Amino acid sequence: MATPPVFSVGATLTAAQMNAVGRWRITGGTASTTLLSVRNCFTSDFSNYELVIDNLFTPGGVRTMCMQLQSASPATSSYFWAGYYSTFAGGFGAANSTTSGMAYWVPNTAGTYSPSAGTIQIMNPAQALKTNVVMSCINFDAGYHMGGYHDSATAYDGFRIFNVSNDTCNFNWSLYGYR
Amino acid sequence: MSAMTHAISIGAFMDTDNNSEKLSGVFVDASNGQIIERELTEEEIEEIKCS
Repeated sequence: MATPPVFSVGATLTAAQMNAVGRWRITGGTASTTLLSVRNCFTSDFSNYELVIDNLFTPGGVRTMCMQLQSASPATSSYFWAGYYSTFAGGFGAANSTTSGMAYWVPNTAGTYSPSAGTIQIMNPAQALKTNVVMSCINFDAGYHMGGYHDSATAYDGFRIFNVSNDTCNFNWSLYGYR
Repeated sequence: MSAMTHAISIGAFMDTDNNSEKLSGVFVDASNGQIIERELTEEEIEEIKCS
């Protein structure tokens, strides 16, 4: 259906109508923390997920953000992740991370710089498959496009985010599930 | 901006100080909406490495 249905005030929605919703906001919030850990957000309800991060500042300085998949414990190895960036000044380059996490948003912002933002697509994390991830983001002087996967056919129920200097990150975030 | 500042090599940004600053974590359970903010344990601090 190209046009979403219009529900009138007070109308009772059927299960079929709700199940037809192709995208749903799972959870989200505002974080000012060293570590954001989210569990039980990846389920069989949706195949793929989008994590939207906005208004990201790292007061301690320029920082590399890192994302890991997790269930009862985090997956801290077997990631393969690479991409490229283009600067607003016309420069460009390639980047890749080591295998302990999906490192991205490099460099990050601090102080008076404009905040960074981006979206991370996470494919099939809740299934016993290798999880593919694609990311696009911007920071104060460049745009980034990254991609990679976690090389383990494992189902996960969540993720966590921190920066590699283990200090404070301030950001807004929302996680959406979609079919 | 030099290439180094865009380097995604994690080691370039690793903070190796073993300082006593307390680190916090926000823990969200999406199944029930529970949000807990607390200090990280020593084990958790040791775990948050990306290198």
